[in-house]
Amino acid sequence: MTKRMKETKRKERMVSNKIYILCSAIFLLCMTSVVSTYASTSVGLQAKTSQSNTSNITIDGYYDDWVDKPMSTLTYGSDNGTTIHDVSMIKDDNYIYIYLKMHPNYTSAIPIDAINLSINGKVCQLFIRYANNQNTVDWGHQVNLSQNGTYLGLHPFTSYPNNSLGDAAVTISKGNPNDRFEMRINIKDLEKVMSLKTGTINNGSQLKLSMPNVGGGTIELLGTSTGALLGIILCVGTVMVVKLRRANKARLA
Amino acid sequence: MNWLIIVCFIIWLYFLTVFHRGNLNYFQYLWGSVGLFVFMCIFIQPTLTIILKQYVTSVVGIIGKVTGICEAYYEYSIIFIPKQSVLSSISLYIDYECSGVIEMMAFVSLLAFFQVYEVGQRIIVGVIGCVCIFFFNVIRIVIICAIIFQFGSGSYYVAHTIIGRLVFYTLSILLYYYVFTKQQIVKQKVGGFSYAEHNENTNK
Repeated sequence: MTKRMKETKRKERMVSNKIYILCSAIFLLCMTSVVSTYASTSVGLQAKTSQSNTSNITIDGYYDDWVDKPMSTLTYGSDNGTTIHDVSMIKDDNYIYIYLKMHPNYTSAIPIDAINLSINGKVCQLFIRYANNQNTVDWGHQVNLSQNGTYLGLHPFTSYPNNSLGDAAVTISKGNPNDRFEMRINIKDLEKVMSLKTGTINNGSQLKLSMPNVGGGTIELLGTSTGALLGIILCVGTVMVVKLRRANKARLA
Repeated sequence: MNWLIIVCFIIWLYFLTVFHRGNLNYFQYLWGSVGLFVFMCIFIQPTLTIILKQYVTSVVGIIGKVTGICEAYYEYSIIFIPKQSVLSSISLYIDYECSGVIEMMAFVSLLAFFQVYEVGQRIIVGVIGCVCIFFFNVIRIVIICAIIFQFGSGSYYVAHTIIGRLVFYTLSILLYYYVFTKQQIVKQKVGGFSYAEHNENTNK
């Protein structure tokens, strides 16, 4: 084989290698864009197509549906346990559910204000009230926290914008069980109110609940995303780098 | 089902056959992998996510019960880490991003058109690979739970973003290396020799 032919073959090989590298880069970009688009859009699709796991919670003033849920406590600490209150927060694809049960020995009224819900560090302060016809707070109709009974048809609100974010029920009773409330917050409405991108809450976000009028500390509900995008790029990238290095070595040998 | 998806699926199949007939293996691989991943996202992902969420929670729950680091509520895909010395309770919810479904689909789509393996081998390797990814994810979540249980909620960021992912990525890279790189080297034909066919008549 003449030197010129060898040179031509080498050039051809270089061109084909460049095409392969270009196609591989396009391939990686395609995978990247597909994964990222999928991550941001499929949450909505999934919420539509899948059955909600926690749909057995109904906001009806009956709290038996919270018996089998993970229960935490909020407290400022007390020797007789008077200020140790049960709290639970869970979520599904459509709603965030919050439950509070005051300690049987606790004598003050259940706090229905200052329910701080934080999404990825961004705090939203909620309170429970009745709604008017415009679906905003009906300030003329208050929950009577000194009167025993179950108050239905309540809603969680934020101060601004002042639209209902879901539904809630409050039960006032003395002794055991003491005062309780349960609420359900619509994830889409909350994202809108907090100016979050649609799908943020269902996309491995960190939810923190604190109620300073109930106790110190927080209840946290955290996503543990695998970081699929980075993972796939790393895996495919490693395979490609190893193959290219091997091909180069073989050519030089 | 959206008619646009069906049209795209037919176009994808057509180009796949074009690349196959033209013996353009490299382009067939690229086109096939990306397309398969997209269509798996559309058709299989919603069902698979629900199953995986519950399975991951259950397996983590079994390990958590034995070690005492967490409790699983598999019906709700929630892993609860009981309060320790800190004033915060943490629950981890397993959604589609935590279930490992994306990694499994990516692995299967990359393997489906990888011609180093025979079709039967691809199915077996695909199943084994998915099982491995499932357990890598379980290991990742157990590590996160153990660190939070031991060091409190403040350690969540380090446990989840750094240690958990580092372990998961390392194991995944090892799997990809073994399946896609090492096997190709092992199966490479060295030289152009072949064994002669044994014929009874040649001895006579």
